[in-house]
Amino acid sequence: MNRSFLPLAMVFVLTLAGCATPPPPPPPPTTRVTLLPESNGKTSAVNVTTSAGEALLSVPYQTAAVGQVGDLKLGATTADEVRVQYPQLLDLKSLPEQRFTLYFMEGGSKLTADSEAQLPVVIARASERAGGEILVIGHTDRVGSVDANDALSLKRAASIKALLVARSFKAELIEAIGRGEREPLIQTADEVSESRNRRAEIVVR
Amino acid sequence: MITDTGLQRCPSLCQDKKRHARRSKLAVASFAMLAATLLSTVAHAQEARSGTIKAVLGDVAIVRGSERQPALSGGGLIERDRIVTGDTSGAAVSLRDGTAIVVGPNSSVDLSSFQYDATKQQGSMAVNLINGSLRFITGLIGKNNPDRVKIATRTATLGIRGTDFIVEAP
Repeated sequence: MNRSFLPLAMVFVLTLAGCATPPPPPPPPTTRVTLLPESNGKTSAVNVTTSAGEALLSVPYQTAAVGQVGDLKLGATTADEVRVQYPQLLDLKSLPEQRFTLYFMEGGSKLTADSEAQLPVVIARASERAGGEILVIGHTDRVGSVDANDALSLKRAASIKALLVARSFKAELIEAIGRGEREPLIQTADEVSESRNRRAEIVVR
Repeated sequence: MITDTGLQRCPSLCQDKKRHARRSKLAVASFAMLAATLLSTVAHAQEARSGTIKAVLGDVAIVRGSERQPALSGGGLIERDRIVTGDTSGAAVSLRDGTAIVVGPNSSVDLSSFQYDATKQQGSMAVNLINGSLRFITGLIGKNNPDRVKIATRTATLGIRGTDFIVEAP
């Protein structure tokens, strides 16, 4: 109760000050934050800090308005109101990313025939997006040192990038990344050879 | 394993030190030349991108230093770029870590800093909303280093916890 009383009291004082003429509308908030729901349904939150304090928004469509002196006022909005208020922010959001997995022939940077056949599909999916990018993320199994696997996975990713560039996809829209042995598809002990971990993930976004 | 490597390398490093002392003047001079060469190479080569411009609606510009260019789909975004939008305009960008930022109409947004190691999926970034509105959907930096993502307006700083949200600074 006390918390909600304080802003009310301030509005009252401001109104009194402008008593001679019709009261001006209250100044708009200097910052307004609206938490949106996560597309995957996971919980999310945003913390708002000002010179006067902080607030945590943890429920979708909760809002925080920051006044002229850093004062925070929590509120709530709805999906419909957000659509009216911020149409561009909803319409311009990119499509969800698409993922592909490509596999290498044993002991090198050459793709299996099946995987190589997927490259035109990857390019087609990337080309139909505004500013579509391709991330090529190389992975290794756990044979060899971490550093050597970082280098090998980057080499594999770079070899796929070269194949995509050769098919006329713009090089600056492709990033080759080596993740080494950090993200095995199949968990193994160190130094275990596992063909399913010798792969490249393709992210189109 | 790292310690082993360090120990093996120590004797040769110590010997190097003596040689370095004698050649220090030369080393400084050649380092300066190397640095100058590297800097001019970086300036002339295409800048390493921090992000890519996706959808562009209406009047959108990228301000880089004293230059202002119309924003184009597929164009690059680098540290310290400002995205400026006009009436009923907007733009979407993706940063290298997968962060998505949508900028609303009549807005100015600075990508004040951006560092990202794609191998380790670690980094940091700072985004400033000068005025207008933006939507921020966190990527891998937000997931792995949430404390190193700073989104600020003139009066508020936002801390993220796996988040999709809108900020407006009218």
